[in-house]
Amino acid sequence: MMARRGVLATLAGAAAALLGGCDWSLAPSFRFRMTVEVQTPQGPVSGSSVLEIQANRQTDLMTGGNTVGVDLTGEAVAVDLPDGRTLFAVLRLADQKIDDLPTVVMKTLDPQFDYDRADSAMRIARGRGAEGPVALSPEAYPLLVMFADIADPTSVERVDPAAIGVTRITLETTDDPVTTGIERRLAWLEAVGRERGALKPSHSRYLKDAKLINRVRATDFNTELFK
Amino acid sequence: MNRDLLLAILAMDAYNRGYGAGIKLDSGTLGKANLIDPISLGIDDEKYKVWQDAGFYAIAYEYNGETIISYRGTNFKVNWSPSTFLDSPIIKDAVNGWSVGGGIAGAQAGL
Repeated sequence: MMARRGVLATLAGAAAALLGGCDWSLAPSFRFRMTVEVQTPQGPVSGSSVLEIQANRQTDLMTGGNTVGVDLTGEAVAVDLPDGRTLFAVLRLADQKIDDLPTVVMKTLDPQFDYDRADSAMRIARGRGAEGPVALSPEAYPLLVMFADIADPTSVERVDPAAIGVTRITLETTDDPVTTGIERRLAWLEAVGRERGALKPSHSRYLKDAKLINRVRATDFNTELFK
Repeated sequence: MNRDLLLAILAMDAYNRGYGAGIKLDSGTLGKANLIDPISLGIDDEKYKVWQDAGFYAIAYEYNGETIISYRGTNFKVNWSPSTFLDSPIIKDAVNGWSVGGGIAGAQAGL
């Protein structure tokens, strides 16, 4: 009897190990810290946020083709400036014509990146990515915004990185927990997300009339709203 | 452009906009069709999240005075990871689409 139980326990352990390994290879995830550094007249300041990327291997049952779905979890980077204002690097790129933010992150942290985002996420998760902080190229910067009045979401404006003094934006893998708490800065975030699809809508019927700032959503500040 | 051909292109275009887009398209027009801003139609962040959770996506266009709605159909993609299998597009379609269409009470009550 004991021998049979032992065999069953061994089989169960092996199955758990196999499933665990399967999950590791099919849905690799990693966390990274994004840091924004700003040179101000009063000296350098910075802010950072820890985010997580999970890549999911998918198969299309109709075509048999394989794709990769990518989920980003976390919050925008907030930098407190000496003049009392706060600079935010939101979770969408300033240039909408290039890749999305998770792809830019993987391209930056994985020197072997070849557009297989699941493989790339696995290399980074296994510590085979770039070591130390790596600077983003300016054309791959996230969108930077500030509020004329932080209590008024419609006062959001796009900020030119050079004009505000951004010296660099870096990415670095980390085991730190994903950053939370942005609602303490932006108390209206959830309410605005329930009310409208953008902080500052264009009020035009057509998408072609909306500037990038008119497309900034509450979920660009916190991916976990409404989950 | 032939109207039927344009409608066929717009039917595919729903897969290239919004979350999980197959091809990244950023233009507000497609040929002579104007994309209607979902924000102007009252699609707030919370509704958009509900769409994502259900695996639903739709976009509207104006073309020659007509309003055209294009929406994604069944997505046959499956996640193979045990931890994300239930988030597979086809599982979401089965739970939020087929079961509702089939009149399963629990699924309808969930809407």
